[in-house]
Amino acid sequence: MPDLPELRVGDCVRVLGGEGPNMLVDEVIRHPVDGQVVRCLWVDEQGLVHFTDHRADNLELAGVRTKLSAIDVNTDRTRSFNGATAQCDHAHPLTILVVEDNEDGANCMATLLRLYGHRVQVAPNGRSALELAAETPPDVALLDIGLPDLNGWEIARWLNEQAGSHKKLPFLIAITGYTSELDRQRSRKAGIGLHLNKPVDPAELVAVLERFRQVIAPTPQGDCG
Amino acid sequence: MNDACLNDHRDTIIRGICDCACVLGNTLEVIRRGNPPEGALRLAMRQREALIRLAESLQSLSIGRSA
Repeated sequence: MPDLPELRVGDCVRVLGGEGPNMLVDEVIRHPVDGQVVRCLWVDEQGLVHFTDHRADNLELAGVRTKLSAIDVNTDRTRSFNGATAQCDHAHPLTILVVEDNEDGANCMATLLRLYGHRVQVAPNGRSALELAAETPPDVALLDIGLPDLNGWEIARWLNEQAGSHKKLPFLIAITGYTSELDRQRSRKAGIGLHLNKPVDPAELVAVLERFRQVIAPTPQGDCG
Repeated sequence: MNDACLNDHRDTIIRGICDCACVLGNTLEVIRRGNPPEGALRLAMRQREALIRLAESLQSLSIGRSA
């Protein structure tokens, strides 16, 4: 058996051996006796549920299976949601597209993310989001859902379709006041990796972005304070 | 106004409150980082005023529902 990484909900995983996207773990189940991770679950850009069972034979949940040993996991325990990661103004900033029609909301989100060292573009509607993404494919897109023209789900589908030509699959995060289970399902179907309800804790968002950045461009230990 | 309209109106107000709370949270984090851009405080004040207006709308909606 491989050594299991210490998985927890919110960890960023990447399927190895392919052009797998980066996804956040949605669920972690531990063995009731020894507490070791026996199973984890995440949803990919197609809305398919990946399900891993380490001890037993792999079980199938939605037709997609991946061995736990075949994923790359960033689980730096020194990083947490308390804002500590925020001190890291890294040499590998993410290119982030903020799609938000609330001008104050978009501007302050952009200001916040730039303070943390990221490159940020702002789109106040769906059309300009598509134009900006075509010019500069983002690493991450933060999508409001309720927009004046296209909605966030339509933008997500378009971004995922375009990803093939850019060979760069963006990590899509919905930040929205649409909070029902049906809305979450729509996000999954549209290929959105993480659905966050407004108001989002900025420290939590920054930590998620940092974990994602660590997966696509790992920082040597000690580089971040 | 029928129930469906009231519910829609209420949902819109709640989403507005969530928007304001989100902006406030981000603005406070920017201020906390110690290098707030000019206008951060004005932005926070605008959100406070918007929250008050939304709360008033929600109150009048409740009054309308109970009337």
